[in-house]
Amino acid sequence: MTLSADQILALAPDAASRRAGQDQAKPAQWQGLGRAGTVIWGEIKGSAATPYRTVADPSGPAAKCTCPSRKFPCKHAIGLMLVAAAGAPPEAEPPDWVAAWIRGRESRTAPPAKAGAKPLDARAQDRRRQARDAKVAGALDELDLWLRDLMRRGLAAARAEPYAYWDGMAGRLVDGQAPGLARRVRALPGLAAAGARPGAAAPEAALALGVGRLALLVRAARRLDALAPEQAAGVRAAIGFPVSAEELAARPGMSDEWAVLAHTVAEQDRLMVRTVWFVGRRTGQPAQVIDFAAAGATLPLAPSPGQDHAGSLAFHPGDPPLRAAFREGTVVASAAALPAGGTVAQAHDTFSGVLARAPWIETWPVCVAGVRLGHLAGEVGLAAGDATGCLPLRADPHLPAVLAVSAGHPVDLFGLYDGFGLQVLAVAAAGRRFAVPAQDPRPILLRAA
Amino acid sequence: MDAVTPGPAVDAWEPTLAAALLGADRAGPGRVGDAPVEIDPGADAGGALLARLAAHGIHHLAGAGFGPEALVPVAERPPAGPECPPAAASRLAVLLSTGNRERLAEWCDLAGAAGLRAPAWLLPALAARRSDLPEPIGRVAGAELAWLDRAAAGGTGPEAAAGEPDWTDGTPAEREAAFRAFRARDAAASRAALEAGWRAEKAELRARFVAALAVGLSEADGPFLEACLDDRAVGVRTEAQRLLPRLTGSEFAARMAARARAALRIEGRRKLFRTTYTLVVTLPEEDPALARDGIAPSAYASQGSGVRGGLLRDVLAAAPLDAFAEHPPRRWIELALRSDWSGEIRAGLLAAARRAGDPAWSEALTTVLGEACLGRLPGVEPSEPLVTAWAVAAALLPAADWETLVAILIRGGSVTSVIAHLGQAPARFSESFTRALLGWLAGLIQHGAVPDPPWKLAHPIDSLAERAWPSQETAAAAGALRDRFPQDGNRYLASALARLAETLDLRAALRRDFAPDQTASETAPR
Repeated sequence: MTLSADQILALAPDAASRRAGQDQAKPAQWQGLGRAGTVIWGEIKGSAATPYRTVADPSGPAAKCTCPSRKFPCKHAIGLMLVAAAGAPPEAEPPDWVAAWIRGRESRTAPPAKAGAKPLDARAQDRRRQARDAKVAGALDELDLWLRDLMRRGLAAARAEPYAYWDGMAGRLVDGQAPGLARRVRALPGLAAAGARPGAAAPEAALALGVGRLALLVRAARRLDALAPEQAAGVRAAIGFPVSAEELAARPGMSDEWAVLAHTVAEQDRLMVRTVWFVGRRTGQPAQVIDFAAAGATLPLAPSPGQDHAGSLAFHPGDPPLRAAFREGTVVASAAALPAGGTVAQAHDTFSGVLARAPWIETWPVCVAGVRLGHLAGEVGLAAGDATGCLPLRADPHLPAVLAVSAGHPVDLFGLYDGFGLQVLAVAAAGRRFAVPAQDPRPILLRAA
Repeated sequence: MDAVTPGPAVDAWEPTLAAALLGADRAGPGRVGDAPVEIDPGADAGGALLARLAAHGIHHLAGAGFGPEALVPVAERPPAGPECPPAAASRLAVLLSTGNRERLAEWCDLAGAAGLRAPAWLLPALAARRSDLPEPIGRVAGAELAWLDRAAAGGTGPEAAAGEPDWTDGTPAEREAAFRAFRARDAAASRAALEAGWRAEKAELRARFVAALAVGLSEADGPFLEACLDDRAVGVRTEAQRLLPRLTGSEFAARMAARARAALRIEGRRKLFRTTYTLVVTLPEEDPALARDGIAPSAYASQGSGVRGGLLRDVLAAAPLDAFAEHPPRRWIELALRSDWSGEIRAGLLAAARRAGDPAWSEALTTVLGEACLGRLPGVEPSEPLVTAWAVAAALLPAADWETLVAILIRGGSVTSVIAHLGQAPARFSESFTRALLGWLAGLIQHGAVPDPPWKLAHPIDSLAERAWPSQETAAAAGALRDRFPQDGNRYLASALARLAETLDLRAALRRDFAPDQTASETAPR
């Protein structure tokens, strides 16, 4: 399948690339344009002596360019895809450099050959694990003490503390090898300082709930032995224990038609964190695939909203499972409907059920079908509801576009629910589906299917 | 912890939150009856409060939510028309992200002409451009945007103009807009209403309202505008002076006609069988009565006769053309071009002809100036200002006549005249003229006959991009022009040609998007 021009522009990492990509989208600037199947290529004169060679596959999506830009996809790749979207280049025999890229992709997507199994030093590994466990236990004790102290003094007093107060505790947690807890502590001052907005918790309630979740995590982490293995793995993941590649490779794959509903991008500890949100069309199981990139580095391309990953995902251990990694599969064109939509009451039940199993989760993806948009009586923000209840919608620059698409008729929504409001990520209305763009603050939606 | 009964636990959230904000030291021990959430018996006061906060927080979250009755749904949007085809929607999304104002307006015009509506998912992005292009966007999305504004405001926003807005109330801009609407509905009643409340209005608003009389201006407004000439506010006087020349039956026009006749007079002297005519020019004097009618020396005019020459030009520009009815237009123009004040009289007559839109005068001006420029008028030397004046006069002709004239010049090979005329071109070219013009450009480039300096040609090429007939063929012709341009040619011209080809390509593509046979196999998903 190909992408439309607006979907291609949504691949651009920032507004400058979007504009520059459009400047490159002129067929006259390109030499030797060609196409083999979905792979397109061409050469374009840049500031270097030799033309840049650009090859892209919008159906992947994937791209490669010889230009020195650190942006990815670079403006040439975006321009090339736009040129091909406006009028497909002639089918041709791929030149050597294109053929090499295609071969390289095939070999990468194929399962990696088993590297010569390194003899594991089981004892050294055990020692390292014990050392880490001891360090984390120390960090948990310190956090527990800090939380109790916080409660004795009161959250109102803590709201006046400087950022260093929170950051110091987070730093000690990082030293104690509990980065997951550190992230949660570092987020607390932001929760406390945020202004009240529709569809979100009041600042003091958000802070109190954040502290409560930390307390529950500390408590659960001390009783790991008493928990079921999956639940214990979930707690360990929340604390920040990594899941090794071998462990993940040993997990069973879950195969389904995974619909890509939206991307979200957030900045976390100087890292760009991009989350691709999936819902299985057959099972209704939600999943997230997370990619990290250091500042200045680029995120790998992932299937756009509107493409389905037909194949399997390997879920990280945890209860309930959510985080996953690609296993194998192909990208296929997606149906317009949102999968697995329920009523608002079912969404509430799902969220409560998740809280019962992992009370420290902050948000959970839910689909609601056939809801009408409106306002809560006497409030400013938008809400969505059906005959079983209603959900406030989290204020967001893209909400007017969601409202416009609904035209006042029932729509299906996908979003992240935190007990207070739904952060809308995708909407399906009148036989079409749209995603909220991850990196575009303008009030537009991304047409998915 | 799992022993908590839902009801009391939900109720316990608020007091627990209050206690957490205060702190365990000040809030004291927890309520009696919270025993079930003692998840950590033996903890200190802080620990106990922490446990209560965690447990009640989770229960509060799990039990949160609103009943169905809490929602006030937004009204359904009445259908306003069929939505544009997907290719056009994609194009609009790209245009909105590049901020290309002209093409955005063109997209709206095309959609409006086809009776299609903008796609719903781009409405907020269009709303952001509404102040820039109110009219085109209103045509393709007006009803939807009005609905969206009301829906986003929770249905409390103002209903769409239940009655006519009151022009006597509101901010100056609102009042002016309301008055313009009133004026468009009933010109006479609105003027009477304005006169009735005239003395109470502030000077700035009086000037705005007088300017608004341009809507539906008629001879009946003459007396009121005449009175405005004596207003205390300079803004009101200026607006009245601007409108009055358009009323050929007013006292103002009669005064101007008398002044024009006094300034220009043709004397005929009969000799044997033919009469020879001479133009007698009497420069007007500075005068308070003249200044009252808006004709005062320009601060930039050179002193002495330059000042009075400027007055002559302004008097002619404000005079009705029937002041010159005793002789045919051609005679006036020919004599004027030979006179000592040819520049001022020419400018004045051109302004008067443009204001009046008189076809006889436009044609006479074009013909005589054309002859003068080609050196066919004895006693008049062709010059650059004369060519410019010719182009201005030709622009007063209907577009088809203008194209015929310029096509003749193109065939005649007069490069400078063609460029001068292209500087005054009408807003749209016909298909045949576009083809002729592109052929002319191709010939110039091919034969190396580009005028010197070459960038003089760049401006006409840029203006051609907006005006040309946007068909697939012309876009292809412009592309061929760009490709054939020599590599070592002038870079201004090269980039102008590249812009021309690109713009025409985009404009042709815009029309393809709206074409009824949406086959477009390349862009459809495979």
